[in-house]
Amino acid sequence: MTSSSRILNRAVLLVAGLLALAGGLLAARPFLPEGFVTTWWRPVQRAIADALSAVSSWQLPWGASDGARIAAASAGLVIAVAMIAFLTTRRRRRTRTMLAFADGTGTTSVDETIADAVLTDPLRRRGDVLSSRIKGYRIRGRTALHLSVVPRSGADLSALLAETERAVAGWDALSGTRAPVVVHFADRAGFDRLRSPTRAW
Amino acid sequence: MNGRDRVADRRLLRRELRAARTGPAVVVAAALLVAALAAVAGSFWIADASGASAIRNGATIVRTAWGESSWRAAAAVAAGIVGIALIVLAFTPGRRRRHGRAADRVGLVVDDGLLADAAARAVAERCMLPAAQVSATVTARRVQVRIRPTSGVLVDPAGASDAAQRALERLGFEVRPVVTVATTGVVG
Repeated sequence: MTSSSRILNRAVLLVAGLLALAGGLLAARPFLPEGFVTTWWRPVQRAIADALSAVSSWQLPWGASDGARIAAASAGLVIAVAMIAFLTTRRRRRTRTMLAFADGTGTTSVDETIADAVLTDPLRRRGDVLSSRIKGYRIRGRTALHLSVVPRSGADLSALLAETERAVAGWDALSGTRAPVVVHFADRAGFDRLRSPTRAW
Repeated sequence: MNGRDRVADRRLLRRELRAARTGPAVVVAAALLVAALAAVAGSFWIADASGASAIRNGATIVRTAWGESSWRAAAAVAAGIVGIALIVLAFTPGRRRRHGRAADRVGLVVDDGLLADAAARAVAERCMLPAAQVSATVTARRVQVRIRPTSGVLVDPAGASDAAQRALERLGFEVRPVVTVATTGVVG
């Protein structure tokens, strides 16, 4: 669960993929049939020559400098800033504050541990649940809850869903809000696969 | 819940079912960042005499390798493979092995493995078979149940299919399972 733009992830992949393909095509030029190359190679050569002649005339106001250097440094700087901005917005915006009420006297915040006690404790006490945990994420100004439950092998999932919905109803009543909730019944992974279908009390 | 919240919740659920492509995008962005910083550093370093000579040497090495057809072919193949892989990652939906639906109050996401377990267990109970003799696979649009019967005991494929379907419907997923019964059984 993340609030960052997924379209942007795919746009970066697409642009990088097209650049790599263009580089590959340029490297493969001598091995390609003449008829295929002549249609696009001349215009590409002309465009590169025009761009180089255009940037070579660039000058810095405070001193002589090579135009190509200025162009490389500026392009590098722009791309670097864009990539830093991209990388810093990829993280998940987790929050430990599940609720916050503000009034004239101040703000009351409800911590993750309270949501954990209300939402996951009833599930954890069940014999057919291996583990359950709750996480909060800030998405478009709202706190969304992600409740992950790992059931034991052979657990009755519909009964587990009913119990989860009861816990969420309890949370709604306690908080007085209806936060978006995603319940994820996750498959056992790693050593959990080897655990017994029944719990020893 | 108003219409805007409902749309947001549906979007939230969809995000749980599709891969974000954050990993490959971060790797690509980090590589672009390193290349961009190298371009900036190089453009300043070239003003220095030692920097200019180092960059000139580097350019000569690259130009020599570029002139050799074996290196050039290898570079073309590598760039082509990377380019196609990135474009495929950009366009394919990246389905996670999960099923999801919007319930009354919550968005429900269930891993395909758990749905397969539930279907197989329901079929084993219905056909009175040990769990080891029934297996199920759940994919995006299909539920395949395979039964290995006990020798000499008839298995009702329609009943088995109904049992698997009911098990999935209890969770709100409406898929018609395909049941196949092995022609050879096991000695009970």
